[in-house]
Amino acid sequence: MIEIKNLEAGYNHVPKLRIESVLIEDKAMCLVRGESGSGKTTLLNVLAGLMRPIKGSVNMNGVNLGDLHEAQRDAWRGEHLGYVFQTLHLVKPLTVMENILLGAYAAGKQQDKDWADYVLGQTGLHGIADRKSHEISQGQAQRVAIARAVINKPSIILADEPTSSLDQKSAEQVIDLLLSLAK
Amino acid sequence: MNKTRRVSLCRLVGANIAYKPLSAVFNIALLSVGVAVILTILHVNGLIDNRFSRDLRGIDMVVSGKGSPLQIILANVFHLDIPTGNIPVSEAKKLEKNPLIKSAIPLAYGDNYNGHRIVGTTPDYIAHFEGQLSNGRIYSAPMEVVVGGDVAKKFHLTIGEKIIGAHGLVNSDDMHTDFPYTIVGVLKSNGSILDRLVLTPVESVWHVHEHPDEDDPEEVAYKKAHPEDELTALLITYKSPLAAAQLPRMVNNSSSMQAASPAFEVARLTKLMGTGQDILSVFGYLLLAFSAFSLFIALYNAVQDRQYDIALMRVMGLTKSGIFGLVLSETVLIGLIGSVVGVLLSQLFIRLTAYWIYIQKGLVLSAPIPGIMEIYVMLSILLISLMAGLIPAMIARKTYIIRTLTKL
Repeated sequence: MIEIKNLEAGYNHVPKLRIESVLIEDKAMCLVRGESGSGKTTLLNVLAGLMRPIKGSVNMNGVNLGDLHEAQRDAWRGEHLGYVFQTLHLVKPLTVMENILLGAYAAGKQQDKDWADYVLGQTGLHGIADRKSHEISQGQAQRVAIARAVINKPSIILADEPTSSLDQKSAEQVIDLLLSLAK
Repeated sequence: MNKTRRVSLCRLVGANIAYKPLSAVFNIALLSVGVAVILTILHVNGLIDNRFSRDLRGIDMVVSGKGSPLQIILANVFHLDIPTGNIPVSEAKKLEKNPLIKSAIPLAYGDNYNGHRIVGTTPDYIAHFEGQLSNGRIYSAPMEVVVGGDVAKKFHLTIGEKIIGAHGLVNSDDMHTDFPYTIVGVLKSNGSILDRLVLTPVESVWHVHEHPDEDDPEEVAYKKAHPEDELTALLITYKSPLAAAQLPRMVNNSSSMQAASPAFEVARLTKLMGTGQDILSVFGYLLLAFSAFSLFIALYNAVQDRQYDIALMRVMGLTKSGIFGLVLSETVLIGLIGSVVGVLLSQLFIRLTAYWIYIQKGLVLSAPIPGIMEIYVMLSILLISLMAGLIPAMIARKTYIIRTLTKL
């Protein structure tokens, strides 16, 4: 569950985003729409605990992120959150499978290779597990990023315009994948 | 089934290094050459000091013809220089009777066998350097010789074989064909000066040089002026420390002989050699300083290149300390590889230097096994590497996640 109350968020103490009240129930899929610069990414950054709100509270599964200090928010993210970025962020020196397992390593969790293999299969990338991340296409890279976001079985997945850098076909595959994983 | 290993700190560090191998290889090469130069200098200094101390052990004073005291030591103890001159046997005998002297070993030489000095002396000389026979016996009559282990090995010499000496201390064509020596003993190599000498009774040397070469006017004139038998030097051991204060002054002031103190002269020699060693050491330390700076630049650039990776790992839950440790681990790994390669390289350098010294000067230096000195140097390199990685690691730790990820 995500509960936002009287939120003001922005940069250098200048509010860019104001939300009075939002409640997103468990198992819900929520789409945030808005013009460019309207604060969609800022909202996701606040929800991910990457930035503190200027005002108000953000309650994620019963935890008020504003009450946590930085290291605690890092740990919380690792435990509860999967994040898919707008642009492709894979670690170049690592293979596809290592990029997925990196999610577990960074969160300090057990690296479950069976689960990683399953997720990789779900994303349709089974045959390229040992390829370096710079050897795959953009569509494949975004699917790897999604697989990495779910490697720790998080309760919340945030995806910031995950199809913006993809062609039509890859975009449809990525959306389908996210929807199937959310179910 | 894929063959991917689990992600670990080692894997991440290794992958980062392998991703840009040239930079890592360059830094490892710089570090290892610096380590090797410093270790080589430290070890070779130690080996030469040890070698000198071993050859000097039990010799308190060397008496020879008037000349440079340092030359007297180099010529008569280490056999690295030409002698300053000879001393009459009568004066030497008189000195030997001095109550402050415990023992005096005579040396008489002027010829060589294929570049190896033929030294006339008593069996006490062999005993002094703890020489042991590998074959045969010690000489008991003139023109019998005992050959050093290295000489015997080099020229495949055996008991009963006849050898001919050449005039002078370096290889020459002026052979004493009328005076062959008979090999009666071969010594075991023991790393001492004995290894590269041919030893015979003093009387052999006198016998060979009894009649000067008529074709050499200088030799004829010398023999005419010095009809008495001569020695090249006396190696003296004091009976009491009191002798050190009295004997050298007495010899220098009241005889045609010159006394030299090995300890003092070797200290002087070490000081002279020290200048060159200091320059080499400075070169080694400069290399290390340069490699630390290069490591710093490489890591600084690597951290700038990897800002996105670092921010990404932070989003995935890796803490600031985790990022800090990751960057420091990389610099420590480079330092560790550099120091290990440096230690191995130093072993090669030391062996090459020892071989070069043996070829040039005939001094046998045995290469040491890596020990405590290597551990200290390796720890220092790790510390230097840590320092070089500290600022890049702090920059990586402070990576501002949102700004970095939205920059792409």
